[in-house]
Amino acid sequence: MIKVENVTKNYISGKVKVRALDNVSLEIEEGECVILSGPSGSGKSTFLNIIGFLTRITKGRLWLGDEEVSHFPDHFLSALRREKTGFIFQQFNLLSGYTTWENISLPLVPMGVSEKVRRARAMKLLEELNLETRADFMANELSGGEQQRVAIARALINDPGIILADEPLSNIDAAHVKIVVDILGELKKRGKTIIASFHHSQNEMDKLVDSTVYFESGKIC
Amino acid sequence: MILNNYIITYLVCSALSLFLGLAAAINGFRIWKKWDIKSEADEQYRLEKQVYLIITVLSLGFFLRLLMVPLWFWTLHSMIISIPGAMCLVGVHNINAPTSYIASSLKLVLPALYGYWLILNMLDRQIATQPFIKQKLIFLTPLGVLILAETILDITFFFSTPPRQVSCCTSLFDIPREDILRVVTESTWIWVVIFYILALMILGEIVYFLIAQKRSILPGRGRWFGKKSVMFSETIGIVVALVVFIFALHTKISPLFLGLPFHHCVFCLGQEVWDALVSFSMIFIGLVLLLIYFWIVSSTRYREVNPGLSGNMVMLLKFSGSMLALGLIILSIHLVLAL
Repeated sequence: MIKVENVTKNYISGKVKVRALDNVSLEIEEGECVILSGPSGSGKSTFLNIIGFLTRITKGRLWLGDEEVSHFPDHFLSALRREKTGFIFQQFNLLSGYTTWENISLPLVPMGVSEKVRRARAMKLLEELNLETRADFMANELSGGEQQRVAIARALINDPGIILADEPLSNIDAAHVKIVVDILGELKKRGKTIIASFHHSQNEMDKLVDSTVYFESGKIC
Repeated sequence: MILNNYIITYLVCSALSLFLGLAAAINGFRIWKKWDIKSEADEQYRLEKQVYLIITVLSLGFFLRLLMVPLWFWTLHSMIISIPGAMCLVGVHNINAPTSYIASSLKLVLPALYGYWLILNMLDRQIATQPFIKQKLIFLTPLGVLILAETILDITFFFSTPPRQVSCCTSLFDIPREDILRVVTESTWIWVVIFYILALMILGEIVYFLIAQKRSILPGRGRWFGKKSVMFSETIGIVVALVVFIFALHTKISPLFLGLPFHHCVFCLGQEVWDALVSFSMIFIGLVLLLIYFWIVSSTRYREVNPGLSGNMVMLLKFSGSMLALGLIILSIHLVLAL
């Protein structure tokens, strides 16, 4: 369970203080699929970053299960990020100088997993996503849809309980949208919590979604 | 002034670690004043980021400082050929006493404090509430002052060595003189015996604490915590053991190992019998780690986080006991062979 209680997040840009989230509260149960919706700049990505332990809150409380993690130091948040969450980015964020399997296995490197085990785990995921023939391709040699699937595989390599996706369907064509949605559906069946942000409604996701949360000007409407 | 590769290397390391240590001490104090873990201000997050930088810088500086301890003695050793009359480190020390003796003494004292900080930091990072954060930040201030004092002494020593003849260990320790303590010129077993009794008592104590720690984690038993009074008595006990050990080295172990019944010089011993140095270092490290153990468990904050850290503390206790026991075994074998 993820619980966000009266969370405010301010960013300081030069001398200007920007309130990205304003007193937001939300509870997400384990295994739920939640869509964060709203226009650009409404606070969806900030919210996603907070529950993905990528950024710290300014005010309020954040709970993961029974543990309050709001005041955790960064190296503890890094460990949580590594073990509990998988992040799928809008721009895929693959490293072009590395092969597909190397990109997928990257989160295992700081955990000290051997190269043999990393490759074996990456190959297993590639098979599940029908990408095994692309294992040794460089990341920039893949199509947009393939890159997104590789990004999903990278998010799953640590077998996290929570999948966070920031506009996961924005940069892929219609044919690949269905593939990605099917993958997310399969993950939901396996009991993963999925939290995805979209700036416009995604009909393809309807069958998966348990609840949709609308953001506007840093608040939940 | 004498200049050689060792001295230049030492001075460069010294300047670098002084810079790191002072920067960390000043910033550590500034952060300590503002630190509030429960604060929701963005300033607190900035302070946390700075703490990571300080920890990285300081860990590097302290490891460098620890490595500089043997380098200091090697550097002094390298000066023997440049000082008329010097045959071992006693002669080198005598060229600029008492600065040199104070500087060398600090080389034995300060590593205990660096070690304490490094271990405290390691433990602190394992608990989300960072229980020792304020303690380790404020501890940087006196440590910074000591690093500065040590560096000033080192530089004073290297830069003001007059070109003159010195007297060395033979004239200092071997010929009984009234102005020198009898303890360094006598050939007696008494200090060796006292040291062995103390060392065995300390080993027994480590075993007792290991059992006490094990029992304390069983349900229904009260947890065992260090107390301030225990910390003070242990500190005194371990310091006494170290002093007695130096007397034992001087009065009996050196003449025995060197095969010269009237030669008491510990520095000559280190110079001639390198493998004995290993056992001395192990005994020293074992005692210092035990001291650090008591300093940590007697902290008030340790009481709150004991369950989370007891595994690490048991490991520290075991390591300290193993070092001491192994050092004693090697020393005993040496003694038997020498006899």
